[in-house]
Amino acid sequence: MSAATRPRLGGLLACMPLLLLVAPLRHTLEGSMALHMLIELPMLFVAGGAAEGMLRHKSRLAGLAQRFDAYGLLGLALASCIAALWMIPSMLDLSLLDARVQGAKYLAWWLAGFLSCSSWRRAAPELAAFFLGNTAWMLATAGLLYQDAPQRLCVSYLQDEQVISGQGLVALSLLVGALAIARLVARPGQGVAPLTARSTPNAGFNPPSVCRAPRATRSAE
Amino acid sequence: MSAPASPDYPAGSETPALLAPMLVALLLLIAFIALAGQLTRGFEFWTFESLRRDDAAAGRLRAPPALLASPQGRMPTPWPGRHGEIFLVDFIYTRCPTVCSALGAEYTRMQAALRQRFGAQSPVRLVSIAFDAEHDTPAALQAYAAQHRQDARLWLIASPVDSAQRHRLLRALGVVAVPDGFGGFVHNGAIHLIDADGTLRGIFDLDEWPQALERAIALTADLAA
Repeated sequence: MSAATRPRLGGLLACMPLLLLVAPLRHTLEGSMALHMLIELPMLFVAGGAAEGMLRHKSRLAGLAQRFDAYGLLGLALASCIAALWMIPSMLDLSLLDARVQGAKYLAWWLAGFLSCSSWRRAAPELAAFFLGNTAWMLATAGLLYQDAPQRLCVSYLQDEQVISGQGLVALSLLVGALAIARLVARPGQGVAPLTARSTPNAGFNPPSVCRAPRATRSAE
Repeated sequence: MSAPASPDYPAGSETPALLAPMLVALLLLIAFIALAGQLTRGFEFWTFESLRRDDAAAGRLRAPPALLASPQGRMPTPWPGRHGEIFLVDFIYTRCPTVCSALGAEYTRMQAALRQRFGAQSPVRLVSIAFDAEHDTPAALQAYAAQHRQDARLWLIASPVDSAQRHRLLRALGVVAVPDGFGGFVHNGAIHLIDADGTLRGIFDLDEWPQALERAIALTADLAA
């Protein structure tokens, strides 16, 4: 991808949550359990990550993150906790029935993307793989439970959708697990965790493009 | 505490403290576990329906009064009512071929039991609220009533007069109906035990109608005492 198109793509991805202001689109996304869990929530996460990618050279946030979370531990831990919390079936129902929970959902997933994208760059491969592996395991467990539950877990969704969502979560867990392995495999001789506030971002593994620094600043790559 | 020297952390470089982020991460984890514990009420209730039933058992849900339309005309919900009255309320749509028909049959049985015990002046009364605004017309309600041999003195079959009242009533009790893709609805249909103040005192599954009736009669006796 060219340096010119990357910021444009990042901007588009960062603006995706604005689509949720279009009520029919939001109703469509949240009217299906699979779209809700597998499209809307990841979209908010990616949008947060894209926003971080755009802002990190223009704000003090990067400095703060580097200062308080130099090893990427906090951002990844927060994202893991948020992902785990939103596997609880009642949270999905409550987000549809209570505007406060709905707002918290949008904010939490966006924030999870924003913080973990920055943490991902700084985290050592082992640490990143640990959190990704745990998230993969959690997604797979939730996916299997959703498929096996004999009754509806959410009053807002049909049982057929629950099974499809469960299958989707298992597929997503495989993707996340593969990402964890890729991060570990890419490590030897390349991946280097940042050491100080002056160190360069992790250069051993190419993170998702929205998390990458603009080409001009990635001298280490 | 600082990170140990390693190829990743060469000796001599300034390594940020690791202890502080680890402690904060631990606190974060504890906070999220506490939040999950609160949301699931001690890791016991993981679904909205189980939370709703716990709310009902604790008397935390209240049915607001609403204006209803029935084949007999417009009337308010029987709650708020006279002290000691108990209502067994279900939510139906008249085109429902499965759950609502089963509920209707159970209500017919409950109606017979109430008539036998209390006659026409029963302190326990039955209420069926129809929520399909498009199809639950007075004529459809009349047909449903006839099908299940409704006695209007013991059993009210009606629908809220407008969508705002319907939404307010269903939302307050946590009743959610979703389209089933075949023109009908799937909903958390159950028997709701509501007292004269409108407070939800219990939720019973369809096959628990004898227990629902027994509990309602016991409550009226308690309140009378």
